[in-house]
Amino acid sequence: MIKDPEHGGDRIVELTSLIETAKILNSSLDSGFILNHIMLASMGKLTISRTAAIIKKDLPAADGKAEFAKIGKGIVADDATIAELFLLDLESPQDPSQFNASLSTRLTKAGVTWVFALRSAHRLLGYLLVGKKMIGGPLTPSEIEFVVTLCNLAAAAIENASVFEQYKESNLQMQRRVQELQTLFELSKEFSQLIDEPRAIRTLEFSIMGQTGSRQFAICLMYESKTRLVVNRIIGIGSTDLTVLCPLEQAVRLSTLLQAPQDRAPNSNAVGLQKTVEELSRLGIKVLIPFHVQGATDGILLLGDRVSHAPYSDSEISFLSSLCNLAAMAIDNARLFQESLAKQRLEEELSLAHTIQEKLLPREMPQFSGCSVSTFHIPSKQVGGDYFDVIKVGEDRLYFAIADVSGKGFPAALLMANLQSAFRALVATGLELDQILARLNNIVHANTDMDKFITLFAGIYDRSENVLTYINAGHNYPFLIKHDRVLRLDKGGLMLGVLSDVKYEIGREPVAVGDVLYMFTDGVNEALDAEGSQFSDERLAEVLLKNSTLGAGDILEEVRKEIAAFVGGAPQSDDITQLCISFS
Amino acid sequence: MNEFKVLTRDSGNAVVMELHGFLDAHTAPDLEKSFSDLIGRGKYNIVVNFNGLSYISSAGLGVFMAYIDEVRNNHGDIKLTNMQQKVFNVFDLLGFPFLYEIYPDQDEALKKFDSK
Repeated sequence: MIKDPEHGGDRIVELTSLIETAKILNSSLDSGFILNHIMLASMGKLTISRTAAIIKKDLPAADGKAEFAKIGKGIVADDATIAELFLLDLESPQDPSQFNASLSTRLTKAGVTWVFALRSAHRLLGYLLVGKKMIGGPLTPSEIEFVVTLCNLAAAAIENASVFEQYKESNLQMQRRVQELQTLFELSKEFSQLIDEPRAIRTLEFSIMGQTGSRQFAICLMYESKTRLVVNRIIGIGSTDLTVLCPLEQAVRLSTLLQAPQDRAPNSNAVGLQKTVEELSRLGIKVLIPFHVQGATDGILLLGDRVSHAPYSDSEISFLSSLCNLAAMAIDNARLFQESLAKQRLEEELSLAHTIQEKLLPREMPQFSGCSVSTFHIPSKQVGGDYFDVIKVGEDRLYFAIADVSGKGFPAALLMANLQSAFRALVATGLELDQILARLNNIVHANTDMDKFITLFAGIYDRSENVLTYINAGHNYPFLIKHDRVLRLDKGGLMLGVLSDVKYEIGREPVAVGDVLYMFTDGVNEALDAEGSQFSDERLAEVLLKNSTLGAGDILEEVRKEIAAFVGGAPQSDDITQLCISFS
Repeated sequence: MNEFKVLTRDSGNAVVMELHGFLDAHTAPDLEKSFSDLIGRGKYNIVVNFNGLSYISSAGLGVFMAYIDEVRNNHGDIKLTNMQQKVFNVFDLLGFPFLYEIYPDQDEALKKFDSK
């Protein structure tokens, strides 16, 4: 710069101070420091008592509005005024009287006499507002020029700082992403090993707290349209109806849901949803994050405010969604595991019941001169209801019974056990057969519902009289084979358990040497072949007649072979029980 | 894998909890147990020494969040000390210095409890 004869000395001082300022400004990456420095420099140089500096932040606030960084030294400007100033997009310094009346009044009232723009090559960064000089009078053109130069230096430095801050911010964002990915990676490993629901939920809970810094949340699981609050860190949420949130497909901020709830959960009942959303809002819930397993909503995370009150960003919400979906997988696995465990336990119990039941049936036949007794019993896979018994009473009387309890499984097995003990007890009383049956009927009737019943055939062979007395209570008619004649034993009465106080008729048949009594359950005559047709009474009679000269054991073996040949590879659907007595 | 371990010992009116190894989703329940044991014994002045901890994940951080309320409600605090830079970075990244007092040295944290 050429020496000005009048102000030469001042010019040099000004220049030196500008170079000094440029050095200081360029060495700083802190825009706050830079602004502060030019404010102080202009105040000191021009004896201005009041200034303010404003810059627009590069990253807008979470609500999308522009944010300003303000430093005021005696001048206070509100956000609306600042925003209006930014709209003007000034290039050269202006005196507020140039603006519209309202803005001009507000600025003048705040003490502003000049507005200087802070501009980089491409854009407006901010403004420096200056007040009156303490020594009075307006700013001279050279003073204005000084401040403009100062602002230009500052703008370059601020632009630098802002690039640096952006770099720092994006670096931080990247570190956060990396951290989130690490978390997801770690948890997918952890969750895939977990088959314990409380542990999976606890892990999810820790991860949410650690990742978001929020302690205010609740987790509600949804299964078969029932909801279950498994984590409740929000007082008062327990009484809120959360089932209406089931149709929620994507994570959503509560503020969005408050405005248009039906758009997000179209299948939910509108009134209930509205009520729930309002309640949740009152409880401080900020975000709802549903989690899914195979397309179905498995649960929902209801996230409240953080300790720091910082809002949740979109990317954070989508990260939490992934986290919850991982947990949902583990929770689902835990449930499937429990279900298969329960099924296994049930199967074990069933097999135990089966073993107990088999032990209730006699394994060895009593020795009784005058006849030989044989049994054959193949239980089906399930616990069934077939029963047979042979009891020797004194030297002359042989009691026997065969029965079929309706139904299968535990109820049938219990009823069969009940029948066995009652029958044995009644035989021991020495009562007549019709009395035994009448009492047995009343016991079964008292112990069962309408739909449970027992068909039973019971008989007594009296050796001293060579007579067979029997009662058939609704059972398949046994065969009595006398050489080439087949009798069916059908005297008796109603099956057991249907009505109380039933009277039974006693049947009586003399027996001779060579006669065969054959008793069976419906697993025999109703055995099915691959086409679904039954073995039938006719076939059974044929086999019996053909083999009636054999011993009891051989007859049963012949019947078994015939049934096996008839059935072929078809699975056995029912218990097969046969009881045979051949008289000699 | 670097096994996770917690050692606790009394020191004046506080308890020092020394962490070693990896603190992640898998080992977080171990730390949880240590905290619930301390709280069960009515110990609310807790200094956690991170010197031996080489890794922490967000699930590990979550454990501190789970207990801080209860501890502070009982006029205690959880103060964190001696963090390796890598571990501190995770705390910093997730905004935890805002929530906890973090000291370079264990004795400094213990002194804070002494002066209470």
